Amino acid sequence: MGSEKNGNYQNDTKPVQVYGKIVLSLENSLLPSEKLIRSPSVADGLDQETESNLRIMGCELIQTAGILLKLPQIAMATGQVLFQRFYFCKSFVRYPMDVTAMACLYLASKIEEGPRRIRDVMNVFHHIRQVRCQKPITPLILDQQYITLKTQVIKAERRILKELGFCVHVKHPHKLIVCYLQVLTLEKNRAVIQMAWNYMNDSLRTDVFLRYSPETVACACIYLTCRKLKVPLPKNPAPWFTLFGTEEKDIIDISRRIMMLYKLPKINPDELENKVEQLRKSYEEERDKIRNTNVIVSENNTPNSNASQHKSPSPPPPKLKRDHDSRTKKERDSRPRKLRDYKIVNSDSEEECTTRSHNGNYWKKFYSYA
Amino acid sequence: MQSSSSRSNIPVSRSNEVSCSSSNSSNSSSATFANSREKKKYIEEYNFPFCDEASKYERITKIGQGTFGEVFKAKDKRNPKKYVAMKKILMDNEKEGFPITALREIRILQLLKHENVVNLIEICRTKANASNKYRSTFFLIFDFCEHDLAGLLSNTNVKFSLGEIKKVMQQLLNGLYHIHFNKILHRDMKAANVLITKNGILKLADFGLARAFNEIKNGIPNRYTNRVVTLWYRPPELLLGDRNYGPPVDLWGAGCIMAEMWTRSPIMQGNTEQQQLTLISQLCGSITPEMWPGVENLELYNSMDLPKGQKRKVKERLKPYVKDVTACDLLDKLLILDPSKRITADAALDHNFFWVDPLPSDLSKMLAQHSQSMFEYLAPQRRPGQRPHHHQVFFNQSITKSFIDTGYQDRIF
Ligand SMILES: Nc1ncnc2c1ncn2[C@@H]1O[C@H](COP(=O)(O)OP(=O)(O)O)[C@@H](O)[C@H]1O
Ligand SMILES: [Mg+2]
Repeated sequence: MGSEKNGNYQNDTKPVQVYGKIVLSLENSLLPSEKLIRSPSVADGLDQETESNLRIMGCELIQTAGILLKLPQIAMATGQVLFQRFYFCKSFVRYPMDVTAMACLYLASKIEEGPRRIRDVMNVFHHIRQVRCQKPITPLILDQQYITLKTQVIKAERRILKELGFCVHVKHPHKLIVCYLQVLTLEKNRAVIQMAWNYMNDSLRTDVFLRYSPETVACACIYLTCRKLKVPLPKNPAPWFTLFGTEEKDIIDISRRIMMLYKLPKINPDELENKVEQLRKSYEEERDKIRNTNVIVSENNTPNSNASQHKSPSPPPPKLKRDHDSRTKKERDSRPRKLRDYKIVNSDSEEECTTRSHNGNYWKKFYSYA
Repeated sequence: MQSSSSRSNIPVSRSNEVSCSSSNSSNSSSATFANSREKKKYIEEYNFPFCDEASKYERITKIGQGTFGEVFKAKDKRNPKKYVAMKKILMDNEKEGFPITALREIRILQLLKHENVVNLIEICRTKANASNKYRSTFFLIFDFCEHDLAGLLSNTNVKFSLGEIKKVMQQLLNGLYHIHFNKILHRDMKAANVLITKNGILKLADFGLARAFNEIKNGIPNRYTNRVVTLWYRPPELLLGDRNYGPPVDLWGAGCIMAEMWTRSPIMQGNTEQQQLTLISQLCGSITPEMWPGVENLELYNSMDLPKGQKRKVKERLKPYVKDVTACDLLDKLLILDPSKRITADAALDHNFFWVDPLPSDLSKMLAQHSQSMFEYLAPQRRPGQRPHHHQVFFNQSITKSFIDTGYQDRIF
């Protein structure tokens, strides 16, 4: 059982419990690589560089806030992995980064058994922002704005749980690193342990946890460390990493992704926020436009629609259906990726914009708009 | 036979736990792909986890109303032969977002896949709409079990043979062994949380109070809440304010349930924590540092009124009901005051009780005589607004009330 728990990938002896296409598993969710290339944010028109900068910024926020909240490192790690995963389900354009970051850290503090009050989490983020903007430090005021934000964070928490199908328990390589170093008889070398640990924490800002198993990430952190510190690793009888079931090319790929972090120019948060803000505005405009046209469309359709519908006592038609018909071809071509097959129930609604047929495969649907 | 074979199925290392031996880490750990072909296969078959809509199930009846929420029996609309239990996740304290207890329950259920643990199928949600203020409700969806033990015990038409009682206890201890092996404490053992399918398979349920536990590390004791476990099943260490407890808390509950298999009603029905401690002392003997070294250090040891000079009478008082000598012996080992001396699930499974005639025997034949589901919630004696009592056979409610001045409760056994 222990070695069979990774969702679908299982031998035949013990059928995995798949029900309604949902796999409950405690394993980390790895994403297929093609899904990693075209994330929902890219689909919404965000360029890849901005997206990865937003990811880095969000993760740094979670890390810093976690330190200020005196959370254990494992909680910050979980928060960052949740954050990364969430933005492969939803786009930065539609779901603001800072609210999601707060919700991820807040949720992670509960998952890792060190719950913090929501107000404290908000306070710390508020503080970090003031420091960043070099504003005078003032405490968070408990006004209407505070209440609105708090509601947003609570909703974001539920959205994260829903989008991740409650698979929110993350297996971290922290412990693995220590074990592997023991096997390699390096566990007494403080410098090695510390540096491997640092690489591991930095790696959270990349998407390697969605690409590789924690075992492979752990090996990459050890690999980077030993190269830097010029500590030899055994090559015979077999290269050391084969002991941990990993492949060299994966280790190299992870190492490359981690090293890229250190080469990046400093992120300008305001610039990033502006970019997202612009896209958000045009997304919202577009959305409202469609909402309006659709209201007209559905009003026009109402008399006949009953006849054409199969289900007899149908609930009131959704406010917005597929947008195809309501737009001209030119309109569609000009923004092919921004407006997907989506429906809007309500702009605040948690249900927004995931279209999914009842028995259909979520991902297939998700990516079939193109 | 039964017990040892089922125990050997338990994983040597659970996937979520890091094993430090090199042999373990090298042999295909779950998320490590031996080769890229397997990885490709994994990716192709990948299903993104997703929360389905609760409307895929059709609710049939309400079968439970705990302190923590409603439970319904429901049917899968696409597969009418498939019955499930839907447990609503209560979100009363919206102020602090998604409840940490629900997160624990979900995680623990995801982790504990075992024949004797209730199976969580998925988590569903209702669609957000104007009528629920755009807040969806979440439901835990379980495989449906036809009965719970409290329901069965409250029905005098249900008669367990000795072999059948052994089967119930063996499965219960097997489930406990598995959850303790995975470093989880159940913390709410009681008959209503023990489910039994029509095929006689027992499932431990209700992990709403469960949590992971640590062995003490760096000498820093754990500080868990001791406000757990329904009073009647609460072990003495919790009643005395211990916050560094462990698996023995569940074995006390197992002992109470085991006795209940014969008495048919909870054996110690205190109304207050003080009263519960008194009842325990009267059954298990006075709580003293001689019997239980270290008890004097527990937070409430000095503030509780502990009866002195009580003799231990577990076997003596249970004998009239239980009759079987080995059963009494196991009960005596489960209901030990000092948690460090209380028998473990593993040792209990090796107890003679399960290995002498009559051997544990299948329950399905007996259950086949009853076509109706039996649940505590549906039990006929249940009075609205009151804790369900189903102890017509041996107790009447006046006992626990009048015991203080009369010592009347001695007649319970
Ligand atoms: N899978 C199930 N099949 C049948 N009945 C169930 C199932 N799960 C729970 N129940 C019934 O619902 C009752 C309450 O469920 P439980 O999980 O114990 O919630 P609570 O925390 O409210 O006590 C149980 O005592 C049992 O009677
Ligand atoms: Mg219960």
